[in-house]
Amino acid sequence: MTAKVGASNDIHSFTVLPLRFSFSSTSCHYLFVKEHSLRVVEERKPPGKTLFVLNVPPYATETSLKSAFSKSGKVRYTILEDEEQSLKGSGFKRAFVVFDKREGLLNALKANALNPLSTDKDKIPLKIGLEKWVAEYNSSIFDPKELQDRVNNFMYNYDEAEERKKKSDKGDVADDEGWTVVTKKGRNPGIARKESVNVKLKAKDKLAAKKKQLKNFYRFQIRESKMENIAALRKSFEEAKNKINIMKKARKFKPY
Amino acid sequence: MASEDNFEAEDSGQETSSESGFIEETFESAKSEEPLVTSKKRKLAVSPSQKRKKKEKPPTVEELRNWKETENLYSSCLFRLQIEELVSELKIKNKRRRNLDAWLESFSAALKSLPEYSIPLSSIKAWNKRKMTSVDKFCSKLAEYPQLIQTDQDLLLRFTPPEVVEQFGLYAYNSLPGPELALNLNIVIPKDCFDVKDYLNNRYLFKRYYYLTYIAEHLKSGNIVKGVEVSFHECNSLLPVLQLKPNGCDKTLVTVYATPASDTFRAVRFLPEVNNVKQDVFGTGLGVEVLRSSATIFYNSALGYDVTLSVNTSFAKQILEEQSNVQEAVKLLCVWLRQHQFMEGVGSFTETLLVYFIVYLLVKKKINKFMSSYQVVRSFWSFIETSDLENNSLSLADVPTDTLDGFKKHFAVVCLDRTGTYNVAAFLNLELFKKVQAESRWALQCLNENKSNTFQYIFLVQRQFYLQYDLVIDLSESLPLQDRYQIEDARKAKYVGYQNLCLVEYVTETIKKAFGKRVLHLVPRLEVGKFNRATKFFYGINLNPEEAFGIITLGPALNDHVAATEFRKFWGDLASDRRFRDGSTNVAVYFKTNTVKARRNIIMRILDFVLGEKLDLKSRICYNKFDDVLVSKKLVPSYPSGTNEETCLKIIQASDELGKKLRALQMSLKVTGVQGVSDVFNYSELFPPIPANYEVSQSTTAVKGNNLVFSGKKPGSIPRYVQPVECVLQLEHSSKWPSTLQALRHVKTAFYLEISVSLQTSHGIISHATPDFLDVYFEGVVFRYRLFIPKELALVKKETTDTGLVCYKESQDSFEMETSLSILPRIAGALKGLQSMYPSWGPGTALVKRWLRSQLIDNFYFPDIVINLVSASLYLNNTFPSANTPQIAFLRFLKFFAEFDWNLQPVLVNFNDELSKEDITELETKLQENRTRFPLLYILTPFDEGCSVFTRDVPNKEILSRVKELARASLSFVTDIVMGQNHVGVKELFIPNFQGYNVVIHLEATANPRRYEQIVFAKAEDRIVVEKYQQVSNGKLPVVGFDPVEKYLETLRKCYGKFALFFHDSYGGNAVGVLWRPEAYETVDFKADRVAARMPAGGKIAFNVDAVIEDFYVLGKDLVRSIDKR
Repeated sequence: MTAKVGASNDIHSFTVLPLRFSFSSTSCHYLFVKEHSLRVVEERKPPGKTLFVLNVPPYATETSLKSAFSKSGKVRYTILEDEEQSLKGSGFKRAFVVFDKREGLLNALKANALNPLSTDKDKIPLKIGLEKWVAEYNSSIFDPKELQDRVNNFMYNYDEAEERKKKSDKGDVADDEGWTVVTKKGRNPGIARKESVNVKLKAKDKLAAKKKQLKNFYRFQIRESKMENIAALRKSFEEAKNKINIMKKARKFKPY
Repeated sequence: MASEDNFEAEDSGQETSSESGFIEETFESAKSEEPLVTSKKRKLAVSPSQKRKKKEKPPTVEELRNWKETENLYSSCLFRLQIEELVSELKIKNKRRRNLDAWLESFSAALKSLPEYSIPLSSIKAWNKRKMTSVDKFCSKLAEYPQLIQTDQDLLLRFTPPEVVEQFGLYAYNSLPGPELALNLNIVIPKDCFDVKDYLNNRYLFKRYYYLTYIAEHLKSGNIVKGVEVSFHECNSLLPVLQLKPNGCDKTLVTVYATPASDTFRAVRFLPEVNNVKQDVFGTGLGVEVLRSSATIFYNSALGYDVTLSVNTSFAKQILEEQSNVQEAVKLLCVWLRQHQFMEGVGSFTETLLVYFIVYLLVKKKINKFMSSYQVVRSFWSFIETSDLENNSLSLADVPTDTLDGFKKHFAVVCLDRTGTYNVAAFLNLELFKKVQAESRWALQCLNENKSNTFQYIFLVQRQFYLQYDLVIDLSESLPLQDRYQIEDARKAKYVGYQNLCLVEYVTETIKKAFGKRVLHLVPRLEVGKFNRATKFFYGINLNPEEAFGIITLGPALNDHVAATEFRKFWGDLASDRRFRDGSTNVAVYFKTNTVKARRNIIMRILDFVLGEKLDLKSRICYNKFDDVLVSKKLVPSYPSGTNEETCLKIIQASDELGKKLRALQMSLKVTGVQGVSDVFNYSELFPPIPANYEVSQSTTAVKGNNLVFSGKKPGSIPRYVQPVECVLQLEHSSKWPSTLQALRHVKTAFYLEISVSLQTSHGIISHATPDFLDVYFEGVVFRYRLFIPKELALVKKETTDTGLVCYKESQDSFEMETSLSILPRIAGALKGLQSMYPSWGPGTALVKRWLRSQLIDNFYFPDIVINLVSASLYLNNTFPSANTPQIAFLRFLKFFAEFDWNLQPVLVNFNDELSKEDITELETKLQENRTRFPLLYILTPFDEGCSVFTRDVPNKEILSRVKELARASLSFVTDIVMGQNHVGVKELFIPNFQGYNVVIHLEATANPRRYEQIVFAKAEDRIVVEKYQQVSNGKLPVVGFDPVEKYLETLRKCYGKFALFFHDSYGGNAVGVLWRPEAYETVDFKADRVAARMPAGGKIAFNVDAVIEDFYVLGKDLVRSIDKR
């Protein structure tokens, strides 16, 4: 399926495409692209029209990527995703470029250049550097009224949902066949289903079992407790010795 | 040891039933060392329980004895092992002893064959005759030695071979700590070399000196020694000695001493009341009358030492013989004294004194043969600490109290020797002794606390002079000291032979008088070089934290005319008559100050006065050199301010007031607690935000609601950084919080909004609520409040398993939340408490931050909180007596880090001793058992259950090593400055060095909002004064917490952290150093998760350097000025 059209840069079924930041750029990043094909078909990534792109530089946005690929054909939209490997993302992204037509995709695979990410003609200029941070700051200032409305809205919906849930939960009424569903509500709700509760219960059991035991009754018990004492002494001695050895290795005992 | 073998044979099988009394048996048999009767039966049955468990071997005799000893004689097993290890390090090999013995024999033989001479003193000069006799040759050779002293007549010098050669000193008592050997030899000069009255007027000393040179000359001609030098016994200028480097023994120094034969002089001639200098042989310029009538106590002491030496040596030898534990203790104490540098210079705590004290304790039965070295050392410390030698005298001889009192009149400390005629502590400096006392007290305290690294702190860490004191005065430039003070003749006569000591004492007294209660210790240190000439002269001062920075030096009451006049005379113009609140009138010196820095500077003002005006000495003082880098010079507030304290205090006051208002607000849930989190609250913030009014500036900002925001135009210059002061709010308890995270967070936002509205309506305070926090603008400062709802934390942690079981699991989110909202506030509170106990902590820690940041290690690699905690640990663990100035706190931090071994020791920050001893031991054991599972820098605090939350990910090994290396270099740099070997300023320590980086990114200064924090040494020319904050009706919240440089670094680290490290000085640095990681350049196989920032290279992928560097430009557009690729 892959289009291996003699491009020498191809690597592992990926086609390599250089991407510049702007026309004045002197160096470029290399995008690794191939046709997107997965068994599970997602609606947003239609098969046959979606190009899978790796190594998208951190400053690229969905719009700028769209304009970059529009050289090969009309792009319907692009999707940017963080590389999933690291938790916070590495800044570099992968993208799905969805073309209007399949020709666009095929063109892209054959192409040897893309539009730069940022051009003067952009309707929405790519915000980078100081401009970006300033914009971020400005948008972090909230209008109290809007914020209040947002909270109110959410809470209204939430309360309603809660109310509904409560109603549906309520009532230990018998169903059609005369069975009553026992819920956690009511006079005797039973113990909570929590891990901590389980742990506590187990600990309690253990304690109870221990209480039943006589500790200093049999001779072997006394003997064992003595042995344990010796073992503890030995252990502390060994630990101290280990520490000394490490210190010795670090030449800590040379006083001056 | 037969029993041991028995046990091992038995191990294979032990029967449960028949050997019920087994342990009892082993214990008994182990003690009596009898072979145990083994029965064959035991080997037959093996009980199942023993098979299951890993069997413990029964203890061996040795083990048992060991445990018992440890329990009875040492504080802990570890301590014991450490002592043993140190002692073995100090051991002198038998081979070297044998070598030295062999050498001694040949030395004695050489002495026996000495020729005899008898020459008058006047003939010692360079003869220049054609025919030289052997005597003439000898005389010309002796003339090469400088004549150190003078005498009153032309003496007849008789040289005959010595009677005996004796050993004395530590080596002779078998208590010399190796590995360097130092052997003291006492050569007894025959009686016939002296005349009866030779004790007068230096005659004896003269003969003694030439006797030594006589020996030196003859040793030179033989091939026994590699070198001979004239030196001085314990820096005593009247007692020259020879120092030999014996042939065939490495690292060995033999000191040759000479004393008269036992019956030459009567010891009573050297009692302190007696006068033995009747003529002005020392060039004191005193009249003969004065000289004749005064006691020559120090001259007598010098001679007394010689006369009593062999008696004292044999007595000490006899007492210390066979006392191997005591000998070991002497070695340890010797190490201790040397580590503290107490054995250096004139008037030091000498080896002789150490031996004296030990012998004294043995004689008085305070220590005995059966004590371990640990116990002896302990007894020594507790004796030194408790004995009040200023008022009580010690004596090894049975002398009447009258004699003791007689000595006491003349000497500060009296320790009479075996003969009862010589004071061993004659030259001991009382101030130094007090310092030794203080250190003993500290050492004892350490032993009692018994922490795991006590031993290191006491014996293994070298404590340089300048680290022991808050303040070091270097008077070396005024050496030799000139006598231009009005010292009474009687006093000068007392010191005859030691004019230097007289002057030192006078200077000490004067400085002490000026400081009064402000100092705890004022310890002089006079180092001597060749020919006993003073080369270095220092004073170390420990300040008294309660009194040191008082603005008043209170003099006597006005109606005490005599004292008042004297006080006025001393202080000159500075003294003034004052009436105090309680109605008393005193003469006093008032120092006008308005900042904390100025109060610290009072010490300097006093010193300037006393050293400059009173004593007229040239001095270099190491006290507050570093304060300068803490001062914000480019941006100054309108109120008086020095270092950060004033602004911090203002903010804390504002915060308290605002907190009160918050708590009083009527809301659905009341605010119950307000906790400060920022470093501002504990004074360790270098640049606390200065309270100010903020207005719209035409070019950059616009108004949005209550806030200033950036206007749409491209910002030309970023407004200065306004740091939000972080606080955490707690609400009263409620069970009505929603049970889903999202809803709870919305309710939280609602609370922020509610507080915001209430503040506006009831107090007219403006604020800005966001879903994450609430910014309140109050008194010109922006406070950032966050709500801590415990239920939120629970919800973040909550997970439901497939079976419907609810469990609470730690995740990255919950971890961060708990750390910042629950643990951090508690630590901040504890640090605040620490700061109020030790006011130098805050600025001292700020200084550490300034240093570390200027070394381009920023918050990302070494967070502020970690610096705070490490610095706090130094105060809490008392590794040194508490620091009273930021400078010494900083230097000790450097010292700590330079020697810090993070693999071995955790950093213990035990606030208020909340962690019990058992907790600490348990955690330390865990750490040792499984070191890799814990963070590299492991900080133990009472608040995070041993998780060391702040160092979980950072600092990493590379950074720690780098900081260690930096600390070491900085410390040696500072050492040179303080000890006078380097005269450059301290500023070099704070100038970033950009050498060695692959790429340097230069930033646009105007886009750096923290540009005002840059280090400036001269007076800043373009400084900005922040106008006083005034409440106005239309005040606006400034652009807060906006730092593009920080954002830039964050982006760079996020995108390229895998390939490079980024270094930047957070305090206004305008350059970023980039270091490629070595692995960045490796060409790797293609993999979808590795492609970032790489390019294809022959089937594989390689790092795309050029594109990345261009990315640096792109990402930092308008911020990056240029990039310098190297």
